[in-house]
Amino acid sequence: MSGNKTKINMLVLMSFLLGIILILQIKSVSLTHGLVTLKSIQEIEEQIEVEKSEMINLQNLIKQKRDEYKRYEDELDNSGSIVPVLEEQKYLMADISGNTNMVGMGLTVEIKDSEREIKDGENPNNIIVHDQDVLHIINDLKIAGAETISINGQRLISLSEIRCSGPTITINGKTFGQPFVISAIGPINEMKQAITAPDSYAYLLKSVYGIGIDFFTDEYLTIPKYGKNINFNYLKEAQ
Amino acid sequence: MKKEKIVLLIFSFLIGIMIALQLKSIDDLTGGVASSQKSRQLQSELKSLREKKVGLESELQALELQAKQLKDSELQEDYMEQELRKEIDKFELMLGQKEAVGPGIIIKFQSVDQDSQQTALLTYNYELLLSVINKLNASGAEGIAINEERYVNNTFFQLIGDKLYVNGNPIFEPYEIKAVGNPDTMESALNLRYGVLWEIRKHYNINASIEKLEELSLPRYTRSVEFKYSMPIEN
Repeated sequence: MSGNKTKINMLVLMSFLLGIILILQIKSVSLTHGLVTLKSIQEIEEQIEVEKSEMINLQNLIKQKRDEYKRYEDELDNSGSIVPVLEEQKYLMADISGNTNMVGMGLTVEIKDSEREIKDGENPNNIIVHDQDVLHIINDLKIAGAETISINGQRLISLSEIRCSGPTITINGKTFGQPFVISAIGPINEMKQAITAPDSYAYLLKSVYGIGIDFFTDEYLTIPKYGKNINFNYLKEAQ
Repeated sequence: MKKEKIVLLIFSFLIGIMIALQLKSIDDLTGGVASSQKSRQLQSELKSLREKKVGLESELQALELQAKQLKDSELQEDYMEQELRKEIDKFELMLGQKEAVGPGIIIKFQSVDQDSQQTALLTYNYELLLSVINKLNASGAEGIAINEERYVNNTFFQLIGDKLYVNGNPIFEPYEIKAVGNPDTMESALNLRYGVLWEIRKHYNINASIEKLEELSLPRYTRSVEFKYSMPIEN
């Protein structure tokens, strides 16, 4: 009988201790010294990375603007007018915005629908060239360093749209038949890699879906300027 | 008596396994836990970075104002020189070298379920984002940005590791695309049945919402472009 009583006493004591430990545990979680999820730490780290890259960009911009201002001042000392510098700026911006014809070494890629028969139950979409395929290949070429790009002779700028609908492609509002011809001025070897490497998207299209992808290089590739007039009706400079 | 003990043993064993499983599944959900001290360190680092950034921004603004004042005072009132200035302004707007504003839409991509990582699919299938931008251009967008990166002539998306880089800068989820243009035209073009947003919603289970705004602002492109291979030629 007395043995049982000791056991019960021990049990009460232990439960009491357990209770206190539990409360301590809970308290420490809710305190500021507690734990945070790794996910939230990762989010802060991402923000820090974005801020850091933005800071580097700002520093670059500041340097650019300083140089620009210095050039204005020098020109002012030399010729008494900043017009020559501004003219030069204008021509440079016309070049990079796609408003001049360009020549340079580069690569031309021809893409056309697959000529193989579709297999039983296969989706016919698989063997047709889509907008996303063209967009993907252009993005790959840009990663490889393409500077100036045209599709079927239409200069590609940030406002260009690509619409593939079956056998035709529409770009900058003009429609062309197959094949789709992408021309790009830039480093030839890197661009060649971008469309022939076994892990490239173009290779996948060619080997798996049988999409026709041919390319040839050119020492003097000419790419015309963007033909349409650009007028902004909605976009304004921020004050 | 012995039988009871064996049953007790088995149950204790089961409870042990269940507790372990429970803890594991919590780890999976939260990605594990860490001390909040680390978090506070990072917070203060972020804060000091932001303060530095504000300083740099005001420095840049001062420089730009200086250049503007110089142009104001040095350029003559004559037609040629004013035209030249207008042309430069237009090129700067087009090349994204200035912050721009206008009416437009914001497309936000969010996971339907807070805990799931559905939007990560957009990181790996970034051609979907390219496709959205392409559709915006087809409906007359005049300026586009993704997160804080302006979309310009030589913008490309690049996946390095599990991070997405645009204009050479990292961008993180949640992604949003801003476009200045006619909000109604752009919205209806994107909401087209079986269009790219439909595909993102249906096949990738991502919540893609479109918000129309009277005015939104686009960040500036912060890099300088130099051609190494392309030479301008006479028309």
